[in-house]
Amino acid sequence: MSDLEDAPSLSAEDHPGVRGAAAPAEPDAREEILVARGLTRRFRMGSSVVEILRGADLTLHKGEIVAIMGRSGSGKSTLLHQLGLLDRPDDGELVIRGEQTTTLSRAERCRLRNHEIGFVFQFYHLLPELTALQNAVMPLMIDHGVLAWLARRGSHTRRAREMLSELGLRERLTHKPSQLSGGERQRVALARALVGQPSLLLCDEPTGNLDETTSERIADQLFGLAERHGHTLVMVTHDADLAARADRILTLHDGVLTD
Amino acid sequence: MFVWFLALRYLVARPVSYLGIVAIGLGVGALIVVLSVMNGFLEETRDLVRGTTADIVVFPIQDGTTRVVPRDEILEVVNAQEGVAGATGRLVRPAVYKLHTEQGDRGRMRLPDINISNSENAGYSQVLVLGVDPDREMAVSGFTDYLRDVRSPDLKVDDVRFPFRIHPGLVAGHLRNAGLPRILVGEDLMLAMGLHKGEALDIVTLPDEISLEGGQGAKFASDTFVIAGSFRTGHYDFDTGHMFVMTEAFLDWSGTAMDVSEVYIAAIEGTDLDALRDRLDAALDEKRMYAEVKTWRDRHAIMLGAVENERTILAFVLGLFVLLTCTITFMMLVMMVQEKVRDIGILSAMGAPSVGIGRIFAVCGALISAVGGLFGLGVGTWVALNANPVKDWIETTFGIEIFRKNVYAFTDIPTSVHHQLNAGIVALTVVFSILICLYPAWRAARLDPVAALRHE
Repeated sequence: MSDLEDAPSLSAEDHPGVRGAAAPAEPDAREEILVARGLTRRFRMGSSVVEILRGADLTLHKGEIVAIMGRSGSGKSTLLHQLGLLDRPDDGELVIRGEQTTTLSRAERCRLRNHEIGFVFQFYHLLPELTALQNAVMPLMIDHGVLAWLARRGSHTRRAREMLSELGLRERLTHKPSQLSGGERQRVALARALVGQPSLLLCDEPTGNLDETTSERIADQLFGLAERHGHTLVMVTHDADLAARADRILTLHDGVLTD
Repeated sequence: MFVWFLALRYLVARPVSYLGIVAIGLGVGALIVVLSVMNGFLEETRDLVRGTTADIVVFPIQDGTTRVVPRDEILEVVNAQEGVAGATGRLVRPAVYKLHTEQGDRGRMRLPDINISNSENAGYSQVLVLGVDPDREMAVSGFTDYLRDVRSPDLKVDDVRFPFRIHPGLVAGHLRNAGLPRILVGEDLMLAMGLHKGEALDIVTLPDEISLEGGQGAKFASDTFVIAGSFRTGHYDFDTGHMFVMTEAFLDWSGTAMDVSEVYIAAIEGTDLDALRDRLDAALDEKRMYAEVKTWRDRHAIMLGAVENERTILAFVLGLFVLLTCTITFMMLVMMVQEKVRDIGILSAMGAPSVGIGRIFAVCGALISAVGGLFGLGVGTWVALNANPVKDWIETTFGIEIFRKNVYAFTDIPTSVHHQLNAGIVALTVVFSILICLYPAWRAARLDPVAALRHE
């Protein structure tokens, strides 16, 4: 963790090309980052309809770290996809940073996801043709047209490089995912999720594919960065030890979300 | 920005992309080469045809049912038309000929003397004899150029201004003082037959009217002509199938009552030949001079049309080949979308808009076709511009003949590279590729991100 602790703090002022997020600050428990009310999701399976989410209610505040636990098939990933705007609810509403998302168009949901949400997946989900640095900078690239990117490429690339360095990957910038270990890949995925300074970080079993030692290190970095930069963190996990480090633990059982 | 970045990465990382580029390049290149050769062939043929005929030719109908129209009357009508730069009358008569020997008799021959059905065995070859007025001919056709373009110095006429004159010293001794008429023979024919200036040809033709009553047959018209020199139009068939004599000699030889077979007309540059043809037709009709009036295009419409048709068919077939190569790009992109389903989910999770995701694959298709098209443009243009060195190399290296000179009227493969046309081919290829790549792009854009992320 020494490289993480020694690393300079990142702020929007340092990186004028990066949107939003203010300098690291004490979490403001009163600011609502996400409000979900009655989220319901049904899937048709053959001739029957299965309700995976049943009216899930959830409010997340800035800087809050929430773990969601539940058995396999309980709807954890579905909830995460709903919160991350990858899927639309059949019923209910979802407000992210004051913006009602259920009425947004597909393109507007993409824009909001790019600006406000970062994903970390169990299986890393890095783009295999790209280097670690290129993977990490991709969310910023998506947010810019050609000319805007050319104008800000230097600052954005520098930010991604610093993020990777902060995660101990200074020597791995030009390596492709196939040349990285599992822990390194997950750190690249973490850098990619955080490079745009989203307000909400959604992690789906972030350590589920890693050994114990690496899991601990990744968890340390994940919590450290979230706390340092004031990200709201939602983490789906089976790992009780990891969940215990969260501010809140929610349980999803048969599609019902409970504290 | 991510669209172009990822499209380039996907293309560079997949060797199969190069296959698509090469396939499109070959298709476009082949189309360009074939079109260039066919255009060259067409233009060369047109030039050759153009060089041996006038802008417009009037063929008086003198078949015995109408009055024989004197040349000067027709020329008067023709020259009065707007757009006519000059005109000359020609006499034309099919004939057979053979090299004159000392034993040959000069004068009329009787039908039994030669066997028409086996004329070659009798030492005779066929030819069209043209009776011309040299001064007028030079003003209307490329006659002067034909005389100047002769390559063998010893076959050239003594004086281009007076092509039917020959220095008496060059005429064979026994013919020198016989007062024989002169003739111009194509250079290719002279070389093929080993003829020289000053030698003589016996030329035989049929009279205007043939009567076979009484079993006596008809008398042939024949005469002996001294070769005054040669001409070269560059059109092999013309050069080996035509001979020029002066009008007076023609009339004396053939004994024809007509003094014109066709009127050669040179039009003022820029004149609408079809309109001039129609005007001439009307003017001749008005004067009760019945004639066929044809532009040079009318006269050679079948041959030029055949070449154009051949070009169109080849362009069509190779166009289909190019389309086929475009469908290879299409299939490559369909496979690419299938392979990149997980990537599409990841990009969606990062907030990439579905339109942008679709554009990645559309750009891939556009880049493959554009690079392939430019590759084909370069290769095709180079091959077209160096068709003959390439042909020579292939023939030398592989020992095969790919261009038979004796089949065509050209010694080299004619090519004409039309850069605008070729650029259009590339543009159409790119446009078509983009159009058919819209489907895989649309499929990519429509993928459900959640399903894409779960894709194994």
